[in-house]
Amino acid sequence: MRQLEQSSKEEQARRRLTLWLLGLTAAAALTAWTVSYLISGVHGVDAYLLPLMVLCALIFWTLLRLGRMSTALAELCVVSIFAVQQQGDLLEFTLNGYIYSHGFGGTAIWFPLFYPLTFMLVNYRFALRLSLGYLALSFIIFGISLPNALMGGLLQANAINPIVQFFLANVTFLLLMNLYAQYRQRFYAMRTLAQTDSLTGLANRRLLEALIEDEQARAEADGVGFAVLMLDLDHFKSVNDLYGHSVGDGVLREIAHRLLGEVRIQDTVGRLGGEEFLVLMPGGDAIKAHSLAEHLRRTIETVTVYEELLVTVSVGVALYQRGDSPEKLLARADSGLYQAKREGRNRVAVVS
Amino acid sequence: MTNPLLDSSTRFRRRVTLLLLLLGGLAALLAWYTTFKVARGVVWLDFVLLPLGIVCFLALFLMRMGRLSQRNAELIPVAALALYQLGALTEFAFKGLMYGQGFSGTAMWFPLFYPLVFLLMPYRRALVASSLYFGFALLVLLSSLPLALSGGWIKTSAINSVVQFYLTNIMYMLLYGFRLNR
Repeated sequence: MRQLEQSSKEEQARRRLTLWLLGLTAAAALTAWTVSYLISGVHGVDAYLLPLMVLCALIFWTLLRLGRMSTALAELCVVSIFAVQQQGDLLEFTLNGYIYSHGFGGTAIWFPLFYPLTFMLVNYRFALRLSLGYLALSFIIFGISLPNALMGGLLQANAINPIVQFFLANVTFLLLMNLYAQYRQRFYAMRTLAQTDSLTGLANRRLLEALIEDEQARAEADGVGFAVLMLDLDHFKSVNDLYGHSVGDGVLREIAHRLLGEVRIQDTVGRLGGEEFLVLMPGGDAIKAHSLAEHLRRTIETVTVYEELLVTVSVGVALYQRGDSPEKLLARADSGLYQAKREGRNRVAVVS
Repeated sequence: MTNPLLDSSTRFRRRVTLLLLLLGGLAALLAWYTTFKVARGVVWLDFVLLPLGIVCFLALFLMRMGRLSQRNAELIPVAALALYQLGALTEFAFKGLMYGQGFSGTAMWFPLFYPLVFLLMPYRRALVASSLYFGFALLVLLSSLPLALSGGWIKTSAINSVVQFYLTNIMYMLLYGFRLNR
């Protein structure tokens, strides 16, 4: 199925990127550890967590590369270790007073990376909670040690700016990430609205045309053809006239449900409008397309729809030919459909 | 006809823009204040901090007055941020401070450019803008490094901070450019 294929491509891209991120994490932690070791030795939290980060990043990189670990799990492990390391560093440097005398160092630049990582990994609400918790924890850690620093005269004037900038920057990063995530949610919601038929929940004409164009490009590149099946409910007007439009709508929904249940996983079912449906069948040749069309016709014919109503369907099948535009292909399917109608309805007509 | 989804989105964006402008202005003014009044530092680029703060507040004010479009109110501070960050980096590198002291905590504003452009610009334009931004930062490193090496400016303690700075920027670029936009 197209969505499956698409998500598989996305998964591969995600995996590649995670491999890069793991490599960068290992490089960053290794550099931090090596340089600290060369200068004055590695102390405190970093003595344990930096080597652990390097080790974990390398292990996860290897497991992911070998396909022994899921991308999501690798990302989750890295983000967790990252969060512990960042908060651990903050705790250590505030408790020993370093931050109050020197401010935050350049490595503080890693701290807000937690927000995009978290929003990338988990759903919006959970990511927001985690991020707020992460930020709140940093405020708490800082707040715990501040009275001692003030009373002990540890706070130096030149450290004030980096400290304030650190917290302001974190709030800004979190706000931006929140805005970003909200936009993504709205974007997906609007995209779904724009591409879905509101009555049946199937792909609408706009999406179908885009998918046919994709399939056409793929066919031109790979030489593997495809077919479209145009289905039209027979005498649907009389259903509306006799039973009312609410029953008519119910019939359309029921038919949509049936079609979805009968097509192959790689096919797409959509509603062109009115009582017309379309099935896009990648890799479909004349035999397969005719066989599926006949199967769909029989399924609809033999099953009672919406309580006691029996409906039939005429199907026009068109096969993609090199150089076809989507309009041309749909026009051929349409002529096949009308051929089926002319020949008495409740039948399939294939137009090559 | 109005789209409630779009309307609520616009309102939310407007609220966050106002808040971000406020935070940006506050951060710039505070940095200026602490540099001149507390730490008494004299760096020419710090003179830019105050104008940056003013630009942020002015954009905020004009937007509130309805004299500036939401888009311009957002893009002006981002351009100001980019100019300031790249200018500060150039000065920091060519004066040798980057190699002698390493970056301070204020460098964490540098990667803010990435989420901002990916939020405000179409994907491809944002990708180009962030590549140029990082490319310039990389160019500063590569062009100042020979000077630092020949001048003996490099201190071991600063190496970590420089490496972390560039690695984090790559991480941000990868995350915003190729992961969160997919």
